[in-house]
Amino acid sequence: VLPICSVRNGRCFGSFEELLERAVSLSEEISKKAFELFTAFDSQYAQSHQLIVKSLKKCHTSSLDLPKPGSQAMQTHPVTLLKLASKLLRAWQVPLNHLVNNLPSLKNVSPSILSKAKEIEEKSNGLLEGVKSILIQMQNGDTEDENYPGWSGLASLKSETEDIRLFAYYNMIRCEGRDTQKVETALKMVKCKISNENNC
Amino acid sequence: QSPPGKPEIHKCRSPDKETFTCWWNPGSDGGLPTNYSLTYSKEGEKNTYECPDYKTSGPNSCFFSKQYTSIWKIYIITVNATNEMGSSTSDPLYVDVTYIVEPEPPRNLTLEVKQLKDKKTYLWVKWLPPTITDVKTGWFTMEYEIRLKSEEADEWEIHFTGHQTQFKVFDLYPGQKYLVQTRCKPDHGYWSRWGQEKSIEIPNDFTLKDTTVWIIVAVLSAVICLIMVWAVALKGYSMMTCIFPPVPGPKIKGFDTHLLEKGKSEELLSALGCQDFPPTSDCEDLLVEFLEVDDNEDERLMPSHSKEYPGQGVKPTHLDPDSDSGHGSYDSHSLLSEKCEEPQAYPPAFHIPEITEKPENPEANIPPTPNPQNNTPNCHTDTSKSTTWPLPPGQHTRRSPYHSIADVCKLAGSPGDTLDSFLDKAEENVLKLSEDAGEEEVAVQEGAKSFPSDKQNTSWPPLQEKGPIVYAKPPDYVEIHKVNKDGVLSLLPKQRENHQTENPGVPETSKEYAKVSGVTDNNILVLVPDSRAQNTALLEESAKKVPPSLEQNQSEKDLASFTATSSNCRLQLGRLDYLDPTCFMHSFH
Repeated sequence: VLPICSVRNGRCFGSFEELLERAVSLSEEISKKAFELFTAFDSQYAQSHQLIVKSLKKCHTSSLDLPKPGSQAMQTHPVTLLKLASKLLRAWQVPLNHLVNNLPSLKNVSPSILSKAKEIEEKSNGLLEGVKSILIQMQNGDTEDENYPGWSGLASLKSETEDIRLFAYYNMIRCEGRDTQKVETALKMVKCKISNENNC
Repeated sequence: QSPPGKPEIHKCRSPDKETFTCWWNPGSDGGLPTNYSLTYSKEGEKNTYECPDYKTSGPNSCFFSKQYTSIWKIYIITVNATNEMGSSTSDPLYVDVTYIVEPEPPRNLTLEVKQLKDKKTYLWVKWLPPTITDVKTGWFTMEYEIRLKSEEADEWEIHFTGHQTQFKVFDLYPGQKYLVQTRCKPDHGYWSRWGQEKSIEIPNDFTLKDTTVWIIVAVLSAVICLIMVWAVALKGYSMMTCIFPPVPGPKIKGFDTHLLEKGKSEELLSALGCQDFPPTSDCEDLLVEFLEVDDNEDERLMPSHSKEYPGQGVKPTHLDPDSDSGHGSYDSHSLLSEKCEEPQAYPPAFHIPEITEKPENPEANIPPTPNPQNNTPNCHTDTSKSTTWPLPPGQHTRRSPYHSIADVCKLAGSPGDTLDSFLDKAEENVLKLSEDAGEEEVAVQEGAKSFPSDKQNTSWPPLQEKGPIVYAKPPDYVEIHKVNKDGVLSLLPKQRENHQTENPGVPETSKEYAKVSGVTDNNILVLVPDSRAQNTALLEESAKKVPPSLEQNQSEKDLASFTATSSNCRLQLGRLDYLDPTCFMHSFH
């Protein structure tokens, strides 16, 4: 059930704390589902095909990294963390769509894998909208055009070679799981800063 | 001596999501000293590095500090074993630090027994997160669990507490000792091991308080029960009456066994509601009254029957008892009067034949009307005979007027005798008429008409009493006629009766004698002086008889009647024999 919100600039805005709390909760759900998807795919395809060695390729979002704890970067302003989360979510909007549309082409793909992928896509889109709302409130409507890294794995997903397609899917699911954790951690750090560590 | 066996990487763990450690199990050493080395490379990089620290985590381990840890990269790790004879390499292990986090257990676990306002006890458990982990910055998000059991129990009771770092446990048994432990888990990683064990004993003070409360309740309830029992005992009767109200007795009056036993009929009747009936005494009185009434009627009826029967039955015997019962008293008076008159009157033998003659001739009653005509000459003859006493017995029968005189004496004697005198006069008149019945037929027919009325009167005793009064009038007229003819004789009885009853003085007797001498003189000389003398005598009689209040009315009536009689007398004197019967007929009508 959506909370009561106030409309500004054609958008629905709840209280800031409510929005942030909902964002953190949603990111936790996405992260959990991504881990489950990776475990299921790995147990069904990776073990029997020894794909790990071949799939150790950098993710398309490797340039977007969170600062290490204890470093000066941890003292960064919450806006920086929110922008990082926003870029990560935006970078995965297109790849998740292709993942959902092409997974059915795999042989013997299980329905649970398909449903989890679909759920991750929908919730990630929702979380992106939430993070944008929070940024608008914090910056008083000043929104910059975000530069996010592009994804170039579509050709591999559609390759006629089975091994090439499996390699591509495995690498994509692994990277998605990691990035969902990054978004979750970033949002939690923002929440702790803003709420004076009451709920941390 | 042989080359070393293949080693095996046991596990890699990161306690704080900033550093991590890996452990391996060595294989066989081949009988020679063997050296182990760990090498790793990162995803996307082709360089291979050796373990930065073999000592911090203990033997057969490699520690990666913050400097060598990249959270968002995958590590490819392998272990090599080498001795003089040769070397062997383990299988590679791919490590993502975010998924191998296993924190230390929570710290500063404290237990405390507390009590709510309602005297309910509970165990308050609180703890702190592990020290190494930086939870405040949000880098970590921990979840906690707590487990609890009593000292004697075998199984733990686990409670999930979420993100909070304190917990309340209820429903504990007093006097028991409880053990408590805690553990935690990051949002993505493994549960920590259970923390340090703590124990606490739940005191019995609370149980004592509870027992005191129960004791108080028991005592109060006991007291209340005693009070209720006491109240019921005191008011048992009233309570019973309230619970079982008395049954109303029957309102219908019925027999009482006591009354039946006692045999009191009166009370029984009263109980039955027969009060309307008069009491026994009243009943007796009523019966007595009825009896008395019947007796009176019988007495009244008897005289009438006796009077009737002797008239029809044996003549001499019946006549005697009648005279004794009804007329006995009168006869006694008459006898007295007779005794008084005996020296003057004739012997009783003469009276008896007269009585016998009456029943023999019932038709004799008819001729009383012609009697006065016949009587007048008889009176004349009588007067002449009276002068001569030595006459025969036949002449004695003709002396009946003298008997009538005796009757007059009786009447003068007492007022009761007056009735008897009137009756006797009537009888005497009957006798006279009987003597004259054969002489005149017309007179007989007229008499017959008159007698039926007389019979009717005789049936009623009170009317009989009135009857003499009725007879009194005709005798007066008859006497008047007698007086007219006899003069002296007829006047004497009326004058004597009146004088004796009203004025019993001697001078009246002297007057009577004077009239008689006048009569003789008149008879011999002239009739007119007789009528004058009669008129004066009648006037005197009427004046005496009438009471003072009614003297005027009666006097007027008497005068009218006397005037008529006087006119009749004059006519009689003028025509002598023929005019007399017509005058009498007019008078009767």
